[in-house]
Amino acid sequence: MQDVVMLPQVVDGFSYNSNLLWVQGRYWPNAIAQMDILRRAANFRARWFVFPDDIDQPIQPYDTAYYETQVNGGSYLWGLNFASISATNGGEPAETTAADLLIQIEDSCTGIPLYQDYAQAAGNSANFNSRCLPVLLSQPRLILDPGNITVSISNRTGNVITCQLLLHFAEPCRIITEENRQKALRMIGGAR
Amino acid sequence: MSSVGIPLGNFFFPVNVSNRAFLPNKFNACLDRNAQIWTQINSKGGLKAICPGMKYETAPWVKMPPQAKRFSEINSIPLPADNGTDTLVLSFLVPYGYDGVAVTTVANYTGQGFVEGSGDLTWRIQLNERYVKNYGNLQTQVGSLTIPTNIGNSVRLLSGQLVQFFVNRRVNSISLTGGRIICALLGWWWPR
Repeated sequence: MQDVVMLPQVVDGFSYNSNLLWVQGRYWPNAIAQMDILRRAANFRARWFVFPDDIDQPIQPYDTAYYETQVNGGSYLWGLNFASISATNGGEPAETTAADLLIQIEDSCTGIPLYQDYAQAAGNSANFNSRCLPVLLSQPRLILDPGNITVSISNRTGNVITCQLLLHFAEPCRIITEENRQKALRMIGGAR
Repeated sequence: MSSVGIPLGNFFFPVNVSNRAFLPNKFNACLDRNAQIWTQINSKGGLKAICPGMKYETAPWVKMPPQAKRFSEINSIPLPADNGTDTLVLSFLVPYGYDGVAVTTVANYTGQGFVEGSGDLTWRIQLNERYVKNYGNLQTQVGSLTIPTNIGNSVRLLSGQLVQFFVNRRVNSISLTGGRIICALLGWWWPR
């Protein structure tokens, strides 16, 4: 019989969240279990990116907006949040939900998208019930050098919509030794 | 104070707890190994290289490969009612196992009274639930069946995608009389 290894609970934001009820058959606790190695690894820090940067930059009717950012190589994408904020139709306020938009995320280094085709943004937007905040990937996704991430958000309505996608990354921290620091300073001509 | 920390031997002592460096643990080793495996896979051409399927010398969406098959999807409908809803003109499914590219598009109206860009008629090309960039809100005619227009930014199609070409006649666009709406997409698809 295989030995069962019991590890102490990781103390982080997930274990502190008293709103979360661990239910065995639910997606969220199982997705957290897939993050266990990342949560237990040392020297990773949170890094969040939003698309678009400016929350007032709307997506025009039937249009697709493209964005790109660069993360540090070795980062892990582990979750996302999406919110549809406001909409107008001919200048008049209109109703909007995340279901009005579609998203696609691609690691442009490998060219492998997160979804097989554009995914319904409502599925990536928390409903504060079965879909908790943030929406977790089934497994953290490693992003290698040079760490380019492309994001596409597609508006499938006739409304002008403002929205924002938040990507959660765990970024490896580089330990800077005095030796490395001096070397870097010499390279830029600023050695003391 | 700068965030570089306090020099201590050949190390940098952190300026506060949040800057503290922890020693890499066995979970870091696990993640490092994962990164090494993916770096190796990428150095050999990535997942696309090790997946089964056709490899083409030049991009098959730029130059038609010998294995590719041409398609000419053309359809027309009578002028729809002026009800402001999207009316389906043309619809087809990309064959499973094939990817494709639509290099030519035609969006025409053969009746009287249409002023280009007036918004009386709007054509939309949709891939699954997403409108194609720049072809979701087309208010002018494009090409003709005798002189089709090559799309500058060809539309790439993926296996199993539903391609739909709609026309929308604006409410109270009574200047339009008779004629038909013609939509066409021409291109080729190739085995994956």
